[in-house]
Amino acid sequence: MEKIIEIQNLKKTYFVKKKEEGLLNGVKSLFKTEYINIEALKGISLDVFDGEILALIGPNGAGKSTTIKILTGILYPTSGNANVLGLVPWKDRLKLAYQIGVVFGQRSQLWYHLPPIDSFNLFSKIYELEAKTYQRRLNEIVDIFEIKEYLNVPVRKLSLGERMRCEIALALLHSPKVLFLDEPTIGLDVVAKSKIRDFIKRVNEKDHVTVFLSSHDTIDIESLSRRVVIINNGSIVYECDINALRRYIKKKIVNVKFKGENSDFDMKGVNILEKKDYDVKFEIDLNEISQDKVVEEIIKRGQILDITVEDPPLEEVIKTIYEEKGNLQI
Amino acid sequence: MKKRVTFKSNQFKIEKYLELMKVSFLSSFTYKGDILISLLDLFTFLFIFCFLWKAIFSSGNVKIENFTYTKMVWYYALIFSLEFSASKFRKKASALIHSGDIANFLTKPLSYPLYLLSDSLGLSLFNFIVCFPSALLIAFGFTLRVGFTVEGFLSFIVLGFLGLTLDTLIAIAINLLAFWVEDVKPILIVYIELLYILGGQAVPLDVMPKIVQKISLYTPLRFSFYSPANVCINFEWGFFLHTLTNTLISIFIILPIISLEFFIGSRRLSINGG
Amino acid sequence: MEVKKKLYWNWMVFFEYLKINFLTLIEYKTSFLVGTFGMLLNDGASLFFWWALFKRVGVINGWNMKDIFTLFSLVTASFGLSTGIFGNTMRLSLMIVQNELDFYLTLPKPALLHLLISKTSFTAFGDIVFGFLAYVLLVGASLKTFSLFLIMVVVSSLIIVSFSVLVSSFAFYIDTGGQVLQEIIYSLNALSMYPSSIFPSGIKVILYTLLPAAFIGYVPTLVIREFSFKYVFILLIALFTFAILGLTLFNKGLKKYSSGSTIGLRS
Repeated sequence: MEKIIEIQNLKKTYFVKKKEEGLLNGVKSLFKTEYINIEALKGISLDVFDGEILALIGPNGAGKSTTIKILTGILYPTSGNANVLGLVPWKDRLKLAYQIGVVFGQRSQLWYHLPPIDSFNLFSKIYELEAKTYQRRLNEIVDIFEIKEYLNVPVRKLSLGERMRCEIALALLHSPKVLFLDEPTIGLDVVAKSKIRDFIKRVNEKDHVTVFLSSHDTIDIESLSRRVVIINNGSIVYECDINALRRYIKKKIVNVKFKGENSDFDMKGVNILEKKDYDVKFEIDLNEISQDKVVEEIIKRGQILDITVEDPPLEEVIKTIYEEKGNLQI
Repeated sequence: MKKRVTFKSNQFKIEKYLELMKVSFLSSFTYKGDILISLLDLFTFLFIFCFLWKAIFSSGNVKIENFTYTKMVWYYALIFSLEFSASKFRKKASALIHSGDIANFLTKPLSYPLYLLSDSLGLSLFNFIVCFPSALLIAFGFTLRVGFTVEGFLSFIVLGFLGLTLDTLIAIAINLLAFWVEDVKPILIVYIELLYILGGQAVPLDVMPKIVQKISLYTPLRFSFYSPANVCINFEWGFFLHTLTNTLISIFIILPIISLEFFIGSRRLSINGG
Repeated sequence: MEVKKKLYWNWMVFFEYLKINFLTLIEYKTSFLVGTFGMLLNDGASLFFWWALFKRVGVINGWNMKDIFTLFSLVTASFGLSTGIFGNTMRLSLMIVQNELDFYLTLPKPALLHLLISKTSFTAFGDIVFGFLAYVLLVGASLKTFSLFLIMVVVSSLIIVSFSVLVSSFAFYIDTGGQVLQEIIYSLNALSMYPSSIFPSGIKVILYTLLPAAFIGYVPTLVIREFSFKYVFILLIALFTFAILGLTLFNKGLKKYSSGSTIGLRS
């Protein structure tokens, strides 16, 4: 499959002036400027393939925003290579700009006091869309994101969720090949987040847009991406398929609904997480015991209405990975 | 035994407001950018006007009563020191009323207008201490002599302080109209521009056409900045006392107006939540 | 062909921004009206000051009341025009400091131009109207002088914008918080309103170089007062110089910005 984004050993070090409090230090700084190195990226390598949704996750300061800023041409790296659609972002910024869409979760692209349609009109000119193309595409994107009723409402009157929908729609107006999303669901409530994820999935399927997103939210990852890249302290800590990730922690969650009374459970490698009336939630450590054995034993303990086996929540999985491989710094 | 223990009487304890002034004064130290900007403004305008009047007087055939070139330079040094010290708090007051923060004050034994006054004076005092010496230095540089006597200087301190108070009180009175009017800004702008013309800020009133001078006699606007500067450079005891009286009268007229505004206004205030 | 297409689309974007800025003014009607009213009053008071002064003293350095009115209306209109169309002119240094440039860097248009035109000032309209009305009504204009006035306003505006870009670009290099640089431009505004001839040569040099107030008000007024190609030539050289310097410093600064060294400690 075609590689849309290629990153090779990308490094980024910031040289930031050392700022110390106090008058004496302020005067000192006039004569001698001390710099401290911040290694934001310590040499990351990554490929993103055509049509995929890739999620970059990591704690604050891990290097997510830096990566996106380099890939979109805002920053240039200290060393290493990267290319997006065959172009080097910091060298061919303008050329690349026509092919990419960018949404920064904390910064709005929509004009706050005007209805979204005005921003769409503006962007159609910025991206040089012919009138017919623009109309057609606008209808498409309005359909996909279901924002018809918001088009003429001033942005400041929209809820955060509605606004975010319009923001992403705006970024896709010019049919870019790659969509960069930096924390797109930040600040949204559960329902809004879920909706945004659906829309992103929809547009990825329909338009075959490659999506590169960074997030804190593990459910974002869970529902959106097939591939997960975990970054911490400027290095890629883990990279894998979403399912493999879950199995990294060799645990399973078993939910059992008993019909009536059930006898106590005490097996090595099995923890009772919750017990409410006749419902019990177990956590199985597959290093200690096999899943089948546990199920066998559960059935022996009582009459069962329902039993399900799940992978553990991603949050916990990632936490474990941070702690083991990334030296999580709190 | 005097037992006037009501909330009202505690409200006017002067120590509170002196403390407020002190806090406001000290907090101004942190706004280094603002200080620099005030100084920059002062330098720019003082330089401009000193050179402007130099060009005017050097032509030889211009005479202004009570004002030689030296007097003019010192006039501007003095008036700009006051002007640029007059704080930017003018916007703050009405914003507070509309944002509902005023609720904080209504529950405390603190007079809101006096709070505003103390806060503003603290800020102004700080700006003045920074601007005044600089202005004096520049004026001396241009004229190579000191433009006032000791009495003049002292009268400037007294009248200047009262003038700043008067200006602040008028601004407070206007800002309190926020209880009734959606946007006090236009009114405030009108006041500022009137002060500019009738208050001797652009040029001393003596330069203005007779009709403007006449109109200004009916307003207290000249007492804020023009009179303190004028009395200082043209000091005479009679002039000083006359001005002092008028300034105090103006202050004492404004005070009850403010009280009334606040009394009526806070009654009809509906504080919005959130 | 490629160039023609680029030009066409850049103009389209420009007009779209004019439209958007206009719509913004309408959307915030009250602020716009208050801003305009305030500006008109402010300009009126300043003009009144000049009128009173000249009534009293007659002539200053060979300039009479009409001359000063010309100067005043020209500078007022120029600042109005520059902040009306290039609305971010005054806040450019703040934009740099607050990382507002990122947005423009992800879009396929030249960053500087784009960010300058994307906003408009609420008081600009008042200034423009006042400037032109004052000139036409108080000084009186023939077709020739009015055309000259119009051209000088445009030239002056461009110098204002160029200089602002130049000064604001220092925000890429110096850790100022942006306001001091803004203040320099406001000082420029103040200085432009006075005929540069009143200043001694030492200061005059500054007004022709570091703080080009002379090129914004004084020299353009000379052109209208007593047209001479010499003055026009000087103006155009000044415009050219500041434009080149401004663009160069900005682009250099942008490169530095892209190296990330202007970013403070943040995640």
